[in-house]
Amino acid sequence: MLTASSIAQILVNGLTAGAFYVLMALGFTLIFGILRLVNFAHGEFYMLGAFVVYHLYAQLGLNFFVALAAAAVAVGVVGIVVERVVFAPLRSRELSMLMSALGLQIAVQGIMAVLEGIEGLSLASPVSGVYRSQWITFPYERLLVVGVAFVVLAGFYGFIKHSKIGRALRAVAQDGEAALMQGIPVNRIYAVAFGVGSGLAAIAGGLIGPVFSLHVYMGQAALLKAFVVVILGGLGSVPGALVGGLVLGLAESLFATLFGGLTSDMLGFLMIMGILLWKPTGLLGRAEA
Amino acid sequence: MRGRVLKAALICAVVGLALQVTQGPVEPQAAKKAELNIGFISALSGPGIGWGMGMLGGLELAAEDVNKSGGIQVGGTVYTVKVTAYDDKYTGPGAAQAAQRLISQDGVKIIVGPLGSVPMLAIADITEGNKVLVLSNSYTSKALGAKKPYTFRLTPTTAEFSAPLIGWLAKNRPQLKTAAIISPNDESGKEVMSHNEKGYEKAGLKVVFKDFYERGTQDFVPILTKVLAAKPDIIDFDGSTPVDSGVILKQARQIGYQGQFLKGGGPGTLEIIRVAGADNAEGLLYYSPWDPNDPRIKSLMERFEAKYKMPFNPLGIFFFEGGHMLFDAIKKAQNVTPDGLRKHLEGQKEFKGLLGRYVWGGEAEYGIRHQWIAPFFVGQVQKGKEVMLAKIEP
Repeated sequence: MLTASSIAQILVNGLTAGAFYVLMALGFTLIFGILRLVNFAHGEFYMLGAFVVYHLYAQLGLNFFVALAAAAVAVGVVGIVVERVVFAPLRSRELSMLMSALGLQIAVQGIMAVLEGIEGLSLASPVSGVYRSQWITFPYERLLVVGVAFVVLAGFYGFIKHSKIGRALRAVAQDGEAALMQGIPVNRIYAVAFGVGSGLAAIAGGLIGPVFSLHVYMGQAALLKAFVVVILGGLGSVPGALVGGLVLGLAESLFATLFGGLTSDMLGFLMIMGILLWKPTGLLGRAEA
Repeated sequence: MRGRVLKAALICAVVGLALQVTQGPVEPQAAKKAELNIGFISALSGPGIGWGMGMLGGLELAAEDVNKSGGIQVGGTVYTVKVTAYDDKYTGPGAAQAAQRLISQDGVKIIVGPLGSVPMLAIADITEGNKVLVLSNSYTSKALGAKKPYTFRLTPTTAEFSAPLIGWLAKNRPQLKTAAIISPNDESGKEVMSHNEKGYEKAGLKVVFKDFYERGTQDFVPILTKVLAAKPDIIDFDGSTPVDSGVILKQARQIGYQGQFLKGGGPGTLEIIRVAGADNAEGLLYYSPWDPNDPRIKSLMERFEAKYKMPFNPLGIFFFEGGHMLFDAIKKAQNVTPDGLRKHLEGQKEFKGLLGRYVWGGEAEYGIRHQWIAPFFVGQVQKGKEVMLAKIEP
C-alpha cells in the first residue's frame, strides 16, 4: 500500500536513477543528433571516466571533483581523437560507422580488461552519511549524483544556448550542409560533439562509481539504459534525454517498489512501448523530414 | 649323477645362448606418446569471468601437475594433457557453438564446463548425442538426470549445501528468524532460490520477501526499499554474482539495513568485500568451498595468481580437484573413452583431494549418482578478512 512516506521515497529513488540516466543519455543523444551515429561505444567512455576517477581520486588522492573534471577532459580528448581516427573517414556511411562503434566497444573493453583486470572495484564516496527523516532516506552520495547532474545539465544548457560552439553545434544538428555553407567548420564541430558527448559519459561514470561498482564491463548496462532513454525522449533531442531519463527513473522506482524488480522491468518496457506507439518519435523527438 | 647334472646345465646354457643369439637382446618397448585433448567451455569475458577463469585455472593447474609428473600412462601410451578452452560469454548460444567446435573440429571426447545453467542446458543435447563426457558446473537440477548418462557435475549446488548452511545458521545464530532473498532472473537464480527456500523451511526460518532482478541491474535501492519494509533478519544474495552481491550489500547498508547478510550461491567473497567496502561487508556470512587460510590452499592461490595475474576464485578449487580426479580415473580405469570413464566414475567410492573426501551423490535429487559432494566451510568477513567458522563434511 502506498503511504505518503513511500511515495516520497519512490520520488527520491526515481530522481536519483533519473539523474544518472539523464547524464548517460545526454552525451549519447548529442552524438546522435550531430553525427547521426548510434554510438555503441558510449558505455565504454562512461567506464573510462569511472577508471580515471578511480586512479586520480582513490589511488593518487586527488580531490574528487578535480578528478571528475580531469576525467571529463581526458575522456573528452580521447573522444575527439577517436572521432578523427575512427569515424571521420567513414562519414556518410552510417552502417560502417555503426559497425566501427561496435568494434570500438569490444576493443576498448578488451584493452581495459588487460590493463585493469576484470575484478569488481569499489570507489569510496567523497561524501558519507544518510539524510533521514520520517519521509525519506537519502544517502548523501546519491544526493551528490542529483546535484552534480543538475549542475552539469545547467552548464550544458548554457554551453549549447549561449556559446559560439554551442550555436554551431545546434546549426550542424539542424542542417549540416547549410551550416557548412554558413562557414561553420562542420568537421571540427563533429569532433567537438563527440568529445563533449564522451566527456559527459565520463562524468556519469566517475560520479556513479561510488554508488554502484567499477569493472571493465560496467558500460554495457549503462549503454542499454542510455539507449532506452534516448528512444523514449526522442533520438537527438537534449530536452528529450532529460524528460526520458526522469520518466524512466521514476517509472522503475515506482514499479520496483510496488511490484518488485522483475515486474518493474517488464512494466517499464511495456510503458515505453505504449509511449512509442502513441508517439513513435519519442516524447520530444522530431519527425524525420 | 654329477656328470648328468653338469651335462643338463651345459645343454641349458647352450640352448639359452642359442635363443639369445637368434632372438637378440630383449629390451622394454618404449611407450607411445600422445596428447589427451580436454575441451573447456566457460565465461572467459564479461561479468562471469572471475568464475570462468577460476575454473580454467583450476583445470590447467591440475593438467600442469600431471604433465610434470610424466603424464598418464594408459596401456602402451603415455598421454600429456592439453586443455582447449573457448569463451561462451556466459550465454547459451556461445556454449552451444563452443561445444560443436570442440566436438567436430577439435575432436574432444571430454568437456569440462560450462559455467551456469543456461549454457549447460544449451550443450546437453549436443554432448549427450555425441556421447561426450561432461564434467560441468551449473546450478540447475535439469543438468543431471537418468537420460544424461555422460553428464557429471563437479560443483556442489545449493541443493547440496544450502540446507546444511542454513541449518548451521539456525543452530548458531538462533536470534535470526526471517529472511529476504534477492536473486537474478534466470535459470540459475530461480534454481538457487528454490533450494534456499527449502533450506530456510527445513531450518524453521521464514522467508518474508523474495524477488528477482534482471542481470545488469545496478541500482538495487528500489528493490531494497521494499526489502527493508519486510524487516528481514537476513538478506540472502542467493545466486547473485560477487559484484552484484557487493553492490546490493553496499546499497542496503547505505539505506540503513543493519541486519545479517548471507551469501550462499557462487563464491567470491574477496570481490564482495572489494565492491562493498570492508566496513559494509563486516559480519557477512557465506558458503566457502575452501579455507583460504590453509597453507596448501594459499600456495595454490599463489600459483594461480602468478600464472593468471588475477585472484583465484574459490570455485576454481572444484576444477583443480576435479581435474586431478579425472586424471586419476583415467589412470585407474586404463581408459580414455567416455564410456569407460563414465563406468569408472559411477563405481568410484570416493576421491581424496586437497580439501579432503569427495563422494558422488545426487541419486535422490536427480535420479542419477553424478553429483560431486564436497566438504565446505562456513565463512565470515571479519575486519575485511575471511575467517572460517566451521567445516561441514559430506
